[in-house]
Amino acid sequence: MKPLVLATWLAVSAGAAVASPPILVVDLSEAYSRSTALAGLLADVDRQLQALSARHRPGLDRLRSELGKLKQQGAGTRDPQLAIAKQISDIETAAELEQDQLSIANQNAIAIVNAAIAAVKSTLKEETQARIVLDVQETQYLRPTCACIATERLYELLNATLPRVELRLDAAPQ
Amino acid sequence: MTGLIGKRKQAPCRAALALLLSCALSPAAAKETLLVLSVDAEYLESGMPLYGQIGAQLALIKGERDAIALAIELRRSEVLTALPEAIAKVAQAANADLVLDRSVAERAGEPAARDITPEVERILVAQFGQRALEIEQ
Repeated sequence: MKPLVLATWLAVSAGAAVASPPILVVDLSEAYSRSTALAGLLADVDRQLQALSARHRPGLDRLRSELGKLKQQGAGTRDPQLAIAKQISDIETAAELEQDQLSIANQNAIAIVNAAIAAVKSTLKEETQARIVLDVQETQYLRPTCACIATERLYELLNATLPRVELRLDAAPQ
Repeated sequence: MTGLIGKRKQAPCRAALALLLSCALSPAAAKETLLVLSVDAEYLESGMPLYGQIGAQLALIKGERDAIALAIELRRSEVLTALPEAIAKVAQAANADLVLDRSVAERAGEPAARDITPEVERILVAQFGQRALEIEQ
């Protein structure tokens, strides 16, 4: 009987080792924490926003305070009031421009990550010879223990191929 | 005689080796099977007669039309909220791995996936078909 048991074990384990579902499903809902590139990007954007605020806020606060004082002094200070209002407007415009650049840089970086995710899905499809890789949103029901769930492998491949994405503030819109 | 016994003992191992090789050489044959079911999501989300029955109550109930219209909208959204649960109920009863919309199932190479739309519809009709609207006074 022993060879038969061994044969069965070999056959079953061989099947299990290479068996893969024809459809894979990935859940990207936690991409901003599971992808090291996206988590890093989020931290970079946050840092840039704080730096932007630190650059402009003190000047704006000082000018607004000066403007308030001049307004209390009366109509004789009209010209200095206008000059300060202009300075405030210039700083606000510059800050808005920097915010727009940051937003474009963020979108460009996200596009790089999205392209990497698409490439990783192709790799996943090739390495498992699956027919298709679906996003969980494309399913109506997914058994929580389904062998088709490939989320862990997707993040493993994604973090290996794109561990980081650069937030390029000097880059032109893509 | 000894040789014959030896050959007999080797036979299952040879069969396993052949299977092992065939698995390695032919990944398509080693595919794990999934039980995939399908639904007509568009029909369940907007086309079921149940939605028409709920809407028809606007003409049947006396009262402020805005309040009745709001109650109808709320009931429709209750049906939509219950829809994933109804799909899951049918899927779990069938021990299914996946339920896909008909178009996605076709794209995924599962055009023959069993359609559970009627079963899901029956659950929703049983749940909401006879339930009176809750109209705010």
